[in-house]
Amino acid sequence: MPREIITLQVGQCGNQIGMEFWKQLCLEHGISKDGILEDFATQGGDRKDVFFYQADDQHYIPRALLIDLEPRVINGIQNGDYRNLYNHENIFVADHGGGAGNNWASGYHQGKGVEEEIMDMIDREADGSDSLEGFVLCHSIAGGTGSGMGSYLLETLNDRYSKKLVQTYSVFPNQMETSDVVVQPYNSLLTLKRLTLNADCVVVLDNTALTRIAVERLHLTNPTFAQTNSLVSTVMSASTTTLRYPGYMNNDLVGLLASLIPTPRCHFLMTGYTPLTVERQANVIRKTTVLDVMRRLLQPKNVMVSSYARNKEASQAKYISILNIIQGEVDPTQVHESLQRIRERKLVNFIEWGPASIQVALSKKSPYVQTAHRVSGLMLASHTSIRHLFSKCLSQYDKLRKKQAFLDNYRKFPMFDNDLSEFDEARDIIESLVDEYKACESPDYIKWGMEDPEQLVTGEGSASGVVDPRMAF
Amino acid sequence: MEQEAAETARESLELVFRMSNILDTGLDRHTLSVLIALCDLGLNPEALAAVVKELRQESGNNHGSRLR
Amino acid sequence: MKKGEERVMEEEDDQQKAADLVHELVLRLLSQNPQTPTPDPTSPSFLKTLRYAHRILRSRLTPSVSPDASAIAESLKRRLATHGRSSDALAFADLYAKFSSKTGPGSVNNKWSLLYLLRIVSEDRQSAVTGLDSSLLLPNLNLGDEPVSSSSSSLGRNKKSNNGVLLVSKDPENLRDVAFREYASLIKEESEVTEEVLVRDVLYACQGIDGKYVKFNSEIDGYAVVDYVKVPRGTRTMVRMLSELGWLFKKVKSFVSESMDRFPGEHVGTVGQAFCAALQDELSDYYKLLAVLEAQGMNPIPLVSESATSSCYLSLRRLSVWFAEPMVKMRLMAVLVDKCKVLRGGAMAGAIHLHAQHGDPLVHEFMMSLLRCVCSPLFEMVRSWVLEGELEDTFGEFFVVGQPVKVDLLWREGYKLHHGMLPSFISPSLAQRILRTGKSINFLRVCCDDHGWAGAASEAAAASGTTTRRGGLGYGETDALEHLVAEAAKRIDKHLLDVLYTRYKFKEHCLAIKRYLLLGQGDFVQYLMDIVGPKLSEPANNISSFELAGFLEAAIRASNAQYDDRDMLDRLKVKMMPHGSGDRGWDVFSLEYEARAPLDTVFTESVLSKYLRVFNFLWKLKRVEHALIGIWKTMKPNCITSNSFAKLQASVKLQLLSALRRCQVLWNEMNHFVTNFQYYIMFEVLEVSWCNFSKEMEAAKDLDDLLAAHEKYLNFIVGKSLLGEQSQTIRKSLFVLFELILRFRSHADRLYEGIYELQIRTKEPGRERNKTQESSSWINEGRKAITQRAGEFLQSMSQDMDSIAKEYTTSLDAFLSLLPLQQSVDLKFLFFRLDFTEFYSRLHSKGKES
Repeated sequence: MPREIITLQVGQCGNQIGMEFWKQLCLEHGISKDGILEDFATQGGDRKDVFFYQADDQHYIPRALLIDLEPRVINGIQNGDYRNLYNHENIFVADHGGGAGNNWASGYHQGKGVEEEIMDMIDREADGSDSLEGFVLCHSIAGGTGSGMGSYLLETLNDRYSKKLVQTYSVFPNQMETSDVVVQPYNSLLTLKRLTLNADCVVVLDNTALTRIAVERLHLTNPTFAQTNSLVSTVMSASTTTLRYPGYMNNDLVGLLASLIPTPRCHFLMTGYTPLTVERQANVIRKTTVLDVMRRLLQPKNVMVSSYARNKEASQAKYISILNIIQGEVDPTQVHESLQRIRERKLVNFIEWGPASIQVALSKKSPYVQTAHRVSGLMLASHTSIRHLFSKCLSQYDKLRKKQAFLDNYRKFPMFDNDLSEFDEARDIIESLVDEYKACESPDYIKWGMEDPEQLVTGEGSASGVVDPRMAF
Repeated sequence: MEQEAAETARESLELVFRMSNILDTGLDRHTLSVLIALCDLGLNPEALAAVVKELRQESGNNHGSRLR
Repeated sequence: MKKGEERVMEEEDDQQKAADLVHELVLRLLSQNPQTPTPDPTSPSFLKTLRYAHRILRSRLTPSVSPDASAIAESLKRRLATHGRSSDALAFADLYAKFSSKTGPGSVNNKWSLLYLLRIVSEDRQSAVTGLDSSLLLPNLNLGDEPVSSSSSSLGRNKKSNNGVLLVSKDPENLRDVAFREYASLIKEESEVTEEVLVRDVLYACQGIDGKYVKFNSEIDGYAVVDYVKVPRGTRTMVRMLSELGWLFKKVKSFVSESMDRFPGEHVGTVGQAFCAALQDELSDYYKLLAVLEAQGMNPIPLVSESATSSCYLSLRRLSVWFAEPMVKMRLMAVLVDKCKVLRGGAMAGAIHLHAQHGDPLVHEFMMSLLRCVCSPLFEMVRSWVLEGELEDTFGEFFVVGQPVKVDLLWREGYKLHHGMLPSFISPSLAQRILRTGKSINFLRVCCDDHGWAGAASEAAAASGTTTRRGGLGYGETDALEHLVAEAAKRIDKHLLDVLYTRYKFKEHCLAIKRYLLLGQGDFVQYLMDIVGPKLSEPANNISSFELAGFLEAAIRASNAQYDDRDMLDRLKVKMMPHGSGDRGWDVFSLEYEARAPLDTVFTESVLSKYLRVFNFLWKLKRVEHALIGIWKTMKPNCITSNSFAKLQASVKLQLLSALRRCQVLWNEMNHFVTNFQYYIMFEVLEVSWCNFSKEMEAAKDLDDLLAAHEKYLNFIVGKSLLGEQSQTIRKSLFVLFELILRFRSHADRLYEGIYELQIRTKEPGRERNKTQESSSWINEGRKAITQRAGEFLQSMSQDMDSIAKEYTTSLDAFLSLLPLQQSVDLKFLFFRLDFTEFYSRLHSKGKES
């Protein structure tokens, strides 16, 4: 009776990173492409049933729902190597197959249309679990299906499964290149609102940073989606290791997330991973110490969220929490020493309104996967600098909204047929989110928002549209 | 004859005395002559030596330094 | 000497002549004494001396060497030469040549005799000069005035008739005969106790038998010449000295026979028997010697040697030479017998060993052979103990003693060193190793049901070069013994550890304990907490351990514990501790791990009770963590959407916000504490100690090492978990924090319940997804009323929260201030973690400033 987690992969991007994630989990648990437990995988001390269920003694099936409004990616999966891995009853592709046209409103609306069908699938999957812990949503926030339909699903899950955790792996669009999706700022804003209100934890996967890492760290000139997705799957699998290899602490998702998210609203996590390698480099086993890993994880270049902060702002930025999950052969006595060094060198800046520390979880490494490094580490952190990413989204939205561009596409759908207040509300929520992150940088966070009721969360309408000039880019 | 014998006796005693001195017995001529007579009478020389030793020891016990 | 030729004709004449000469000699010799320059020939002392001289002369009728003058001369010459006096030697040779050529009347007739005399006198003087007290070799014939027991009385008895002697010089012709008769009777009387007889009696005495004249005298506790017999004091003393051997013999003999009589008895034991046997052997050698001496004493045997023609009886002096060696041995034996009278076994061997270190090679050798006998039973015990684990010790002589104990106590209490029985030639460390090796075998046999040790034992025997058969070892081969013990210990102990590690899976059990009792198997613990938690909140009396056992089994099945070895899972049990009426389930619930033989030797009751305490502590910590996680779930990010409160009055909203913020911040602080305490427990306590323990487990050479390592491991955990005796204060302070956190949980639950209610009532209508019914009820109830009720509720909640927060701050401050004061445990790691961002240090210094 494990704490089962059901994965919902929605839209193209969601299914792509989801597929990579399952590939990685299969490798780590010694499960073949067909879901059959390999002969060698008899004693890993691992817990497979968090993410898989057993159809029979040897057959493992992911607790995953593959959802899309257009068939391309899912067809690819169904014709690919792993076609026999998934439960085909858990695959949903819209009958029309026309997708959401990169329109959040379309995705959201279609989501509502197929709510029954999808919720049946979710309910069935939930019924198959003994003590369901929660859901993981993989999606992108920029497109139509992952963002719109994903948003709808978040609201629905929040409503129907209010006691269960909802975590998302949300891919943020690459800001450095001009997107073919012009309404990306609208979609992002609307999705961000749901991520803020209806998710318990959002792991931000910033395509800008992923591409940068692929270029700078992995020396790929033109990283493909597959390559950046493999980074994502690495992060996803690493962040779930403590759930899959039980130890003294951090054995369930809620335990993992609780300490990371002391302030409920600020539940957007950045990730960092080291050492990063591509497969062809994996021939030399390198010696890495715990200190090396922990130090590198604090370096911005290894963090998978772009920092849009200016220098002054960057120096104000603070960690609300850090959890380092370190995998491999680690001498536990090194942990303390590493923490001491990090404090001595003042490598990390924490919030001042409460006690904080770097949490370190040691986790087993899969015995079935050979890696180039003895020790590897994943950082999950709540850092106030993430507000600049949201501010960026806001400013892009504002630019587009000012021009009143492409709004017609949205007005076609019921949510927007009367007015565009949904946009305004979303904007208010994101702005207050940005404010709260900013407030966390101050020692007086406790008193934040108490002095002036007008600055309260969501206010009563009067605060809407007012942008703190410091936030504007 | 008598004279000759006496001469022989005197010479003999002299020889004995000199040997006795070499051997550091500490015996004087007179004592030696008595001892020669006793030996000639067939007394056990061991016993005689013991007498010499014992009686001298008597005095020696009192005056050990003299012997040393 | 002028009458030399007449000697043959007149015997009577010669006697007179000799007497006169002796008189003259004595006078002469005494006059050399400066104290009596002119001795009075009539004085009693002179007469005494004279009588003494006569007696000496009478005692030796024949010389003991062959009458060869030139031989004596030659030897004298050689002696001079060897003393570096070569010129004297030449002079002497020259004089002797002249002397020997003097023949005929006037010359010295008995040249040989004279030379011999000179030689003896010379040698006597020599030895006197070189300091050797020759008087020791002679009977001490004291002539002093003090009345001496027997000799003086015999002297006194003859005083009246001694007039004759006094007259000798006055009237030699008349009284010579009288005097002679006097002497004759004296001789007759004394010769009744001839030396020969005394020798015989001494030989008797030396066998513990009373002789005719030499009898045991209980007054002086020794053999002595009976009083009525008149013997010179010197002789008497000599007899006394010689017959000491008899006294010693009697002592030894009686010890032996007493011991033999008591056999088979506990008082003697095998070592005692061996000792007796060795003594007996020695005594029979002694008997043989006495028999030979007796034969010699009874039958005068002429010496075959050419240089000594005289037929010579065994004299007391000779006897003393003969006795020298037996005397030493007998004395030693008597001493040993004395020492060993009350001793047995190893103690006896040890006592004897103390006498073995002797410079005299004779004594040394004797002691060695004695000890070889005495120690052989002991060494046999050692051998069979270290190679077979057998205690062949019927009489309680071994320095290892066993006692009947329960199987789980066999290792710790089953066998002990009996220090009284530990001979000093076995070092304490060797003794310990011996003890452990045999103990290991017994442990293997009894507790581990193992037979493989025999192979290890015979390998050890082969490797040490000692066969496994009896008698392979002996005293003096301490090296061999040590080698054997070392080899046996090495192999047996290795085998024992192998058995424990491989067959009995020691390390796996330790890991299982770590997983379950020390909560290392997080998923299991979590699940257990989930399902027994609600039950444990009930009063302890309501809880059946049967039900809890069911929960335990469910938790195993639900977690990865299900893949664990069934043997280990079966040992995991629910334990309900004794409880009082007010106790809740939380207070009494515990897990225990059943230790079975042979591992119960490691996991003794006291060890398990320590584990129990650690479990209870960690369980408590987990419960607190669980409570905090529970709070987080109720306040998790997607629970309260602030949109819901859009219609609330600003002041209430402010109140709400304030209450939530306060709750979150306090939660963060508490969670920080509990989480970091857990990290401390995991990294600084459990993992570190396990690392060390694993290393020590690998390095352990024997079970004692392993026990010590485990003990250290467990004590480290107990100490570092603040469960030690000295940590009571800080532990109390910690539990206060735990209590506060649990209290906080119920407050937070109430707060959120209230907020949900409010949320439901104020939900904004208008969106099709929201339930319209709720909003209509809100409308019905009236906004004002709700606002007021919400305000009151939030007010009281805030106050409660404030008071908890205040209490928590105080308690935490108390706890933190205690951390650096702990002397028994180093808690700076814990403090470091709790104050990683120096939040509390800053707070503290700020508090000081204000």
